[in-house]
Amino acid sequence: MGKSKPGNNASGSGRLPLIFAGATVIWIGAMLAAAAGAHLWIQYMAAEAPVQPVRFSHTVHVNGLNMECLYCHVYAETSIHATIPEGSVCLDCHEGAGIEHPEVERMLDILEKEGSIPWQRVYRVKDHVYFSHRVHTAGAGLRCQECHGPVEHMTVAEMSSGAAAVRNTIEMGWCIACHRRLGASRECITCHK
Amino acid sequence: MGGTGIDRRSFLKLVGGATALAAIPSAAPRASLAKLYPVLVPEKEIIPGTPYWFASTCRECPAGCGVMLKTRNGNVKKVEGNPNHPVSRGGLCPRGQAALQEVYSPGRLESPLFIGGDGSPAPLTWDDALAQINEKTAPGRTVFLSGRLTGSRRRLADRWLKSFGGSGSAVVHEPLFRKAASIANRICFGMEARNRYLIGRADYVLSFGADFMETWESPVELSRGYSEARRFDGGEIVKFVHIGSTDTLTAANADEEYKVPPGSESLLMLALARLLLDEDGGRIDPVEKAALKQSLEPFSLERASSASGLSRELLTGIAGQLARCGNPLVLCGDGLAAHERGTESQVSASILRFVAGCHGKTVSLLPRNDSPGDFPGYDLDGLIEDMESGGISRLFVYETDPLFTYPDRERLNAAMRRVPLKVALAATMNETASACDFALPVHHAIETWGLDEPRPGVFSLVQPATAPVSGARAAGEILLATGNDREEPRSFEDFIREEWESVFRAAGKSVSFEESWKDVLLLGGLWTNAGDPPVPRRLAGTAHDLLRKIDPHPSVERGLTLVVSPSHRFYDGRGSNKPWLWEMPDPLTGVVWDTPLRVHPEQAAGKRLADGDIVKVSANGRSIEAPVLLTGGVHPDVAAIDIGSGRAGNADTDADGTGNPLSLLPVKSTDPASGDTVLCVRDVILEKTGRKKKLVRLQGGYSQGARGITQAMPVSEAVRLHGAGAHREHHHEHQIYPPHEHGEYFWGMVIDLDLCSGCGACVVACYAENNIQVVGKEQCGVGREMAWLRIEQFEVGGRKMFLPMLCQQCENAPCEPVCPVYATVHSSDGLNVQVYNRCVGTRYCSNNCPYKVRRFNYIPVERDGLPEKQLNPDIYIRTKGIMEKCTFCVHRLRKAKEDAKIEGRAVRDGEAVPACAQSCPAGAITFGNLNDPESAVSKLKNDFRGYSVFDELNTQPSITYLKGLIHGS
Repeated sequence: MGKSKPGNNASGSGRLPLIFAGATVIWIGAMLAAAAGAHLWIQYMAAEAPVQPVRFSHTVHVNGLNMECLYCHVYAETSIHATIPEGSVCLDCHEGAGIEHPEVERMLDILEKEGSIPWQRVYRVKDHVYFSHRVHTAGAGLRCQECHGPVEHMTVAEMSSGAAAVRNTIEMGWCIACHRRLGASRECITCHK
Repeated sequence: MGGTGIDRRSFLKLVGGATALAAIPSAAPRASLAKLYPVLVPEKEIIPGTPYWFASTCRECPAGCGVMLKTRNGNVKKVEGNPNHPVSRGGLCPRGQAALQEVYSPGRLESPLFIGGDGSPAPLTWDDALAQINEKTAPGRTVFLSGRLTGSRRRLADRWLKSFGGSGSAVVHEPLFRKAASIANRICFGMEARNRYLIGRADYVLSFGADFMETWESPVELSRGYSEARRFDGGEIVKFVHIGSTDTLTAANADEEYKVPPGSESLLMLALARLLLDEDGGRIDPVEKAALKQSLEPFSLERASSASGLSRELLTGIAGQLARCGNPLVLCGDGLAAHERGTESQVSASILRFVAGCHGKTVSLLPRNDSPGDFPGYDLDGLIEDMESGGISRLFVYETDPLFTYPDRERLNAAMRRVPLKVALAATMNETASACDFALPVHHAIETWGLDEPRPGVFSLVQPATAPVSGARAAGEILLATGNDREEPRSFEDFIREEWESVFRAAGKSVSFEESWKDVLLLGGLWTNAGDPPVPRRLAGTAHDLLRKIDPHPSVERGLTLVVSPSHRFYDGRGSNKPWLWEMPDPLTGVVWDTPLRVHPEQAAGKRLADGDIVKVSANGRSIEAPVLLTGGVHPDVAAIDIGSGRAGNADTDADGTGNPLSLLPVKSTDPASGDTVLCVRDVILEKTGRKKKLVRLQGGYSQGARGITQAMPVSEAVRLHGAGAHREHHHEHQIYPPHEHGEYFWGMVIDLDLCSGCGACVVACYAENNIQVVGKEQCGVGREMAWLRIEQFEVGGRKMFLPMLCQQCENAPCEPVCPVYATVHSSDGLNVQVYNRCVGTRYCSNNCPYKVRRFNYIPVERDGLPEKQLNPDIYIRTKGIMEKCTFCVHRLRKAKEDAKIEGRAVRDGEAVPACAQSCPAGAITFGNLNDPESAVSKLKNDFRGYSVFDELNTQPSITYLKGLIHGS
């Protein structure tokens, strides 16, 4: 055992490559982690505003044309679902209007080929949550923007800040903050089914 | 998009689903009736995610109850009773509710099948199938074999038969819907009429084996009627005496129940009639009385007493009560009279009713509206002879399964092979369809249009509530496409429209078709007054002739008689492909996933039989094997077994091995006078095989000791207390926690134990409403059944009583303080709620629950097995490791509260009810807001009959039970 000590000392200069190798490993690890983090972050950001088949601009329609939210999201005041409009709603205007616009062209093309437009959902609540649009609109008299943010300024619909968590699900804390502020029910069974 | 957790694809489908629903005509042309519009909700006004209700008619048995079909996004989700319908008046039996499971059954036929000689099916297109059927012509008669058909289906079948030159009507094979009683009316009064029993008016009911709470005649209608006569409001209530040979739910609900051997009922009824005449209690004119007295001379009390084993004093007492009561009712059902002399028994019953003066009070005679013609006519036995002689060239089978229900299957099968063309119209594959040349898939009643007429004057709408689930077509459409007059094109839509037009014309409607049609769509049909039924004044000579033929000294056989009983769960076997009905415990024996042979302990002792022993049951040279269950409910000389086992395509796999008991019945299977199927067989031999089978009974014990779970009081005491203005004394102990505060609502329930018959409709309603998992026999056997609501059975004061046990929504809930994660909490509405996503599955709550109403998911939910379209999206699908329980259908309450909030009002009394309360045929469950002193439930809660189960534990349940009532002897 004693003899081995000088031998170790003799190889003292050999530590440097070891440290170097270790540092390299840590460096690579850190880089990988950063890359993974960045990837997740990109995904996370992307999840807030999913890529839509057509770059439908809310601001053009709402700010530019003064359209009501309910024109397209027909059932927001009468159903638990607000619903995403069917292609026929787009065609109400776009059979004539704006057909030279490339995105409108693309929309008409998809409609012709597939019959409906595969819109991506922006908002989602979990399976165990009961959420009713009509109670919040017709019942509580809230404006759409109070939950959905300034949609009229959005080019492509994205989640309202604060609502978003990973994968487009709404977080309970966000709901509760508003329920607390407005004095709405905070009983479990109001929202959990 | 709400909390349904739907992905994009199904979301788009969902939005499209709205179109599919509204457009039952356009999107689903096979079920369409575009010409019958306008609908109640125009297509543009259909809102996705909102439930819509469609009124229709149940076809799970021939009674024809009105149903409401709940649909959401185009899929049918639940079947409930239609409160506007004169037959069911809001209730629905377990079988009717389980109809839903057939719609989404994996056994649905997808396309027409050609079944080759070796029995292998080959799919065909509709065009090919119809062309091949129409091409086959051979000399001989065309026959349409079906279950009981009324209204549009009967006329369509007749029309189809006429197109082939036939003059007769369909051959009806409906083993449990019997003709003997109407034959008896012809013999006694010269009127071909069915009896309609107005049980709600009766003050004394004497039943000879009539299981009117389960399968006999119109069970929901009669249950509701009986509960009207039984509902306590301070005065006397109906007394019910049941004389039978087997253990049935109806017998268990009787105030007095006596067991007699089958075949002795004629003597009993005639002896009672004679006693009534002797006692001068007969309510008939003197001339008639003298003649009848002479005819009844041989039927003495002594003979009746010795044949039945009932004492003379008892019979005299019954006759005395019949004489004293103002509105007595005598029922004679299949439980006793389903033997080869069934018509004799029904004649005896008609005579007893005549003498006791029931006609015009509690019984009315309704003209027959189903398959008249050459009645009693042509039954299945006659058809088999004709098939054997090669006289039949074309056989269509619809809504009947004779190869399951006819005893001599080999003979029927061989006879059918002589028919060149056999076509089955069926929704799911059954025994008969697999022996036909072609099996054509037809729409379930929930997917098609029609007009049923369960009794004269009741025109009941059948309407589709969903687009067809499979590639089936309407049976009517197939008949129109295969009749011999198919060259004149006529659509099924036109046919149905004409049917309704003629109903409107006959009813004298002056408004347009569209106006009347809207009313029909809303109400579920059109009810007209069929005129006052005739009250018979004289007994026809044929009755006296028949009386002379009845042997007053029947030979007393002491052998064992097997009664094949109509099943409360499966009816004539048609329910046995529905898992809910297997998982629902048999209300009387508590057995799940089996149909045991019920044997009296005396009989069993001689053969050293114990529960679960598999015996070989032999009769008529055939045998089946079945597990034995000992019960004192059957007559010692009788063994009974329910219909249901041994059917191909059964939902049950565990009951495999129990054969089809119908195969033991006598080969000459009918009562010659009526053509009714005989349901009992004499001189049966039981042999022990030495093997055993585990029978799973969900109730652990039938003794409640001194716990007072189920309570009762004598009627006389109730009358006295009511007169004295008594009220319930509420029990409040000192408690350390402050009481809960309630908001606008405090939901509560009152269950009247005197009205509850234990039928289990609430149990199945709960399964359907709350997506409760069916776990199978093995899991049930280790106590892991998932039913949130169970029915407990205890004997109180000599009477069997049933108690629906569900979460009591305690104010001092023992489950709440022990939950470490606050998953079970008290709501401001007084509910004890369970937050599923918060539950971590410690099961402390269940351990601490004195009522044992919490259910834990031990096994993962097999989502693949659950038809997504059938699931209620308002209820979370609980997964493995989660505790679940009843919350008074909180989603239904939430919906009512939301509707009320948006309309700026409070929830109305009766607007929000849980599924169990809605379904109850007896109307035993009252639900409402306890904070509203005017609500029905608030008033009943303080009734002097009210009590809480385990009051001494101070759990303060929100459920109040009303004590049962016992007639003093």
